Amino acid sequence: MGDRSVTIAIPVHNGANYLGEAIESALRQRHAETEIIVVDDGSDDDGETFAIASAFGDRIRYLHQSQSGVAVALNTALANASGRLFSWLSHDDLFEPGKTEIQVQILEAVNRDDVCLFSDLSWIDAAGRIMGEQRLDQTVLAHNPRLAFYEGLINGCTILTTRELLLRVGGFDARYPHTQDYRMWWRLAREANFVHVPRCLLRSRLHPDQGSHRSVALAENSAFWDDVLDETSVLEAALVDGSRERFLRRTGEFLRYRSPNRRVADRADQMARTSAAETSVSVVIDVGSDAVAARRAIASVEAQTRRPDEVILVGDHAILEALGPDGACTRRLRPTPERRLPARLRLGLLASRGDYVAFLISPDLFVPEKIAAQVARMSAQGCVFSHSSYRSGGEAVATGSFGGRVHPEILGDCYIEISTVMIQRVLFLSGLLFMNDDAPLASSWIEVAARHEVLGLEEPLSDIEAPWAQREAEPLLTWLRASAEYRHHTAPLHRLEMRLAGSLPSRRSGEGADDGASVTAQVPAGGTDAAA
Amino acid sequence: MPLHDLLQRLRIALTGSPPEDEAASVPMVPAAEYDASQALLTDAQRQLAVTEAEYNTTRTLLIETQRRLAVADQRIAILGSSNRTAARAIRQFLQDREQLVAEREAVEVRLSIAVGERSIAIADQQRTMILNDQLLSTLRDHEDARQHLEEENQRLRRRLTERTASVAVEADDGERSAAV
Repeated sequence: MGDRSVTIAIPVHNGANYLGEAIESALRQRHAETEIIVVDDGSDDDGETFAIASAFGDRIRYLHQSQSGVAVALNTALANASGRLFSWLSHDDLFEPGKTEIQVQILEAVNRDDVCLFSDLSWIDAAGRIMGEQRLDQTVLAHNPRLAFYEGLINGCTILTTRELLLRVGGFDARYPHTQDYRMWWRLAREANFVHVPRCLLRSRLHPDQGSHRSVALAENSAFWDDVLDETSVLEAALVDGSRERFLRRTGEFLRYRSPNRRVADRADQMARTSAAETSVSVVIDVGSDAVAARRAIASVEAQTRRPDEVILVGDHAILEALGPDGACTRRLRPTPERRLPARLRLGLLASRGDYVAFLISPDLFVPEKIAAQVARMSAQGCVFSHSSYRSGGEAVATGSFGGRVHPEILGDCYIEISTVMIQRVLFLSGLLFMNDDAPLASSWIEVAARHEVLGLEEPLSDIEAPWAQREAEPLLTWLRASAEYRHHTAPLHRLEMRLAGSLPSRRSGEGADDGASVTAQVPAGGTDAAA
Repeated sequence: MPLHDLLQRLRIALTGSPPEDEAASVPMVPAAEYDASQALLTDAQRQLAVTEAEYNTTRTLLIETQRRLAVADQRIAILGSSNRTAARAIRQFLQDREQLVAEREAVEVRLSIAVGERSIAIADQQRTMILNDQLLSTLRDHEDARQHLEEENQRLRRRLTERTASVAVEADDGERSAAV
């Protein structure tokens, strides 16, 4: 069979009630190159299922096996299929006539061998009457491809993919007769690409004889979601929901209200409550040129109410040697002759292992509750980037009110200080930070703000001796003017020019916010200072 | 009395040879006969009038019916034409609908392709990030191992230097003692 050939596998066990209708719906597919394989999984209904299948003669292929479960039946179909593409139809469901044709067109156009299509569906009752539809938000799924799996939105009978992909990920796991499909989608979500087709291409029947209602199936389903909670890494969770805590809360909510897994929902909620405390934190410290000041900076980190898992000391070899490899926190030394701060910070990031990474430039200091407060807020709100207000020269500087969707305002009003910044590791891996050694630090904050929400914490969490933002205003303007992406934002650039020219006052507390700058002090999603 | 008989009697009465009136040269009809025939005549005239009225009524009805039939025929002709128009319109509508459905499907397919490609790009990026993280973890382990080895080397070098120095000092002391 050719490249457009499709095998529709129909596994069945004692399915005489609806098998005929299912086969007819498969035969009605408009797509020409379609083969239908019925795998009889040891039906013992006095030959009724066999009789139904036989009535279709050579229009279908009929395979029989001793009762081994749906996974084995699907694997049998996979092994015997002659189509390049593979789809699966439950014996009690129906395909819409255009299902295969539409999905083949999309797969051909996308032209990737690691794509698995799935679609919307309608629900039908035992008599075949349509009771409702499941329609998913294609835009949301396009921006967050793994969400479809983690929300249990993938119905296996809507899929179409290459047979080779399913075999490559190991086929359906026969150890799990009731969740073999979910486990397959889990593997595919990690190793391939799920693409949503916004059409109801399947009619999924709800009826009391369904296997999925039985208690054994429910127990296996619970075990599956237990595994998902345990085996989804902090990084994967952050990719889906912004943080592990938000991932666990959303999963708990889904399990509680849209599945029968109450026990696992409770467990997810419990895990969410402790996840912030359990995540790992690194602090990258640029030790500067003064070992004494560096010791004070390190001491402020080691005195944290929530001590980090490690500190990465970056800087001159002699200074690092003077500071030594031992301390209250695990130290990793990264000596470098590099003078440019972005390069040093990047070196520190490469060496860090923490899920959350904070930055400290000697001689700046952290207040004792900085790490605990900032991690808790970021975890609760699923933010990948945060900064805070700080104290400098005895005064509080309220830069922490600058938060939310701050692009493009940030181009003209960037007061984010490096020693107040904390990121999630996922942000570093996205390649937005410190990619240009000669660019001002603010360029990294702008790149982040253009793509993510910024969390601002209003309480001063750092003591900063010499703020960077003011020093960087002129190089920032030069960088912005040279940037093809940002130079057309004339209004904020003009504001920056005016600020440089001294027309606008600096942003300090006590001087009021009415400085003519249209800085958006938006409250990020999730509310103000109250942690979730 | 039936009209026919009446007319017959009237004809006999009219064509008989009645005695003529010498003064008027009008055939003389006996008075009774005359009265009877007058009565017949009146009756006949009355019936004729009735018949004529009925005839006129019937004729009017016929004309009206013919007119109505003509109108009905016209209406049927109009309806027939409208039906054909309607049937054409319905056929056209169904064709247009089929075309729109096909176009909608094509648009949905194109949209799915565009959105799908974006989704694939994001998924690819996420997988790359996860792989990079694993790679970085390996690199960090190697770097830590390398640093550890370097520190160990330095420590050993220091110990060797110290031992060499102490051996040299012992040798000097021995020579001095021997010299003394």
